[in-house]
Amino acid sequence: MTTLLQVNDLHVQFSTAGGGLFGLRPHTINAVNGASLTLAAGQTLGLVGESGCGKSTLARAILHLNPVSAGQVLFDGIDMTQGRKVDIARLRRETAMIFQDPYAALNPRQRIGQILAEVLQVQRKVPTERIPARVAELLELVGLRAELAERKPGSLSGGQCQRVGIARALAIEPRLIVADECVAALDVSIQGQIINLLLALRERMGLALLFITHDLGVVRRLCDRVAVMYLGQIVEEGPVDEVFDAPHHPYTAALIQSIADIDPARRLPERPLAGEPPSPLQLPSGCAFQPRCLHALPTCSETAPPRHAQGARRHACIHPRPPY
Amino acid sequence: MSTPLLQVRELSVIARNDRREVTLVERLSFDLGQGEILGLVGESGSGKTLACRALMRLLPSPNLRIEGKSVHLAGHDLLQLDEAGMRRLRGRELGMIFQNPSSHLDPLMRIGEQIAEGIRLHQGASRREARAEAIDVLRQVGIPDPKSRVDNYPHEFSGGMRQRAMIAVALGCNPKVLIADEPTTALDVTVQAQILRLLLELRDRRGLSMILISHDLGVVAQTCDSIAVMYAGRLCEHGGKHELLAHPRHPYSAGLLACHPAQQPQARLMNSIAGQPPLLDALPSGCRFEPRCAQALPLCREQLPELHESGPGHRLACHTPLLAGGPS
Repeated sequence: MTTLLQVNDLHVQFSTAGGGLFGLRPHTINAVNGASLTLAAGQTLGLVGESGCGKSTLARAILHLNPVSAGQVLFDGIDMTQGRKVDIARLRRETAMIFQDPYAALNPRQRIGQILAEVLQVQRKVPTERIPARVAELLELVGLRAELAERKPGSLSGGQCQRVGIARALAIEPRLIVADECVAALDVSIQGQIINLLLALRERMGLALLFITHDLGVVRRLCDRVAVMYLGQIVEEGPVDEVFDAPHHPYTAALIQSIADIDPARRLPERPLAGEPPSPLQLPSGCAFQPRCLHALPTCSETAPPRHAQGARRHACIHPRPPY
Repeated sequence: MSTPLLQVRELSVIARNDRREVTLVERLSFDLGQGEILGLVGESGSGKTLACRALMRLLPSPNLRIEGKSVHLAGHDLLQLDEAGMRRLRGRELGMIFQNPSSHLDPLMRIGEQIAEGIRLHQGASRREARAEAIDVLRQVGIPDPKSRVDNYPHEFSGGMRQRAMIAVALGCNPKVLIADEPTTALDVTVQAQILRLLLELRDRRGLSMILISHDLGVVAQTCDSIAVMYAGRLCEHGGKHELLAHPRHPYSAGLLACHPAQQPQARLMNSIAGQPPLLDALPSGCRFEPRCAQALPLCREQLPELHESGPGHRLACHTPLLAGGPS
């Protein structure tokens, strides 16, 4: 399989006011702190982690929507962090994003047809006279009736709006789609419809999908590989089944244990992971997870954890094998 | 669980706008025993939150009206109480916690004062007593170092700690029933497990009864004793957790269970329920689930199924229930 996207040791920093007298000394937030991942063409990678761990920032940095402080984003072998206009233009033509809140992502004053046609016009995907036909095709592709082109987002349900969001992403015939929590705002009975649609489209169009979510159950269903993020770093990455069956990183293990399963025989974890992720403003020394980790050793607070690679799997922890 | 602590009979919430009336919650009846945790599940707009707000008489709009036969709690019929009587009861007998703690805590008031306010009002405690009590409650909900944290403002707490603080505000008044409206939806999964564990501990320690509103069957399965499923404003199935999860009899309950992503992880395609819930001002004349139901008969289109006792401790509103032994 050919590598479509490769992210090498990516850093994203934001500065905020707040420190010192009158808040004049800027604080630096390390939102993404040395993240690396690869995504092959046609593959689906799930990016999971708790809120504030930097998964959305990482995704936006990949699509050149956030400034990057250090590191590389290679799309098709070309480094996008150089910011050359021709490269970015190509990135825009070949990647698309689906957002969490389907109502907020669509312009409420535009008709659905206009929303889709605008993308086609800007990217010059089809000749002007073909646009209405292509819009109808796109709507049909995501399971909506073509008449909906005349409607405005306000008169559609959440699931329908999300389908429009997907149709808009597909309009440019992308090779990579980044979906940021794209089912989190939908009811469970509707979530399945959207996930199945993404599965079918991936098969049909050979799409690569970066699927950001906090819902591990969905990842297990949809993704080939999973990357687990904690405080700006990827702590574990590997094929979904292997990671779920035998997590290597203590944080991944805690996340999997916390999945609310509907099996009534499975009780809540007796000792749920204590504490909460610390603020990215004050990263702990050494391993970022060390203050909450049950298996931490004294050295964990001193040095960054070593990286281990075993077959298709990678993790960053003092323990090369899980200690449990 | 002998006589139920809370007995709700035919509670309805009706919205009035432009001279049209829309019933948002229709004739909801259920019992809640001492120390029982009832999970109220359903999709957004199914009326679960509104029903619980009606119990507290805290409806979000003056256009909403409560109707019903009776709501008995601790020797009172809440529907007969006047506003002053309700105010005495609210908090002391019936506490509520919400999904988003940041919008339900006063940002300009110290955490300790928010807890102490209720204690002073309901128990007539002095300021000093109430403060000591507030520190004790904060300790009970697992806030580390409560003596110094009691003077913090909400913004100095993290998300999980704010939810704990809101639970402390509710617990300060020592309620018999706690209504928890999606208490963990806004929290991360690892923190969600902590808060659910805390709620279970409080039940065991204080004998607190709870109504846990959630859209997540996983959360409900791990915490509740019984489950009530709502669809389009009506209760469609209510029974013990183990039975309902193992053998759902209403096609909607079965569909919701099948939609959970953790079900059958070996299959790639996810289950979903075709279509979407009906609009409450354009309801089908028969069963409200009929347009999405795979089991529907002609009868379902004509006649609304009534909730009835379908077995010991199990109630159901369906003309074509699934067999008790498994899916048909």
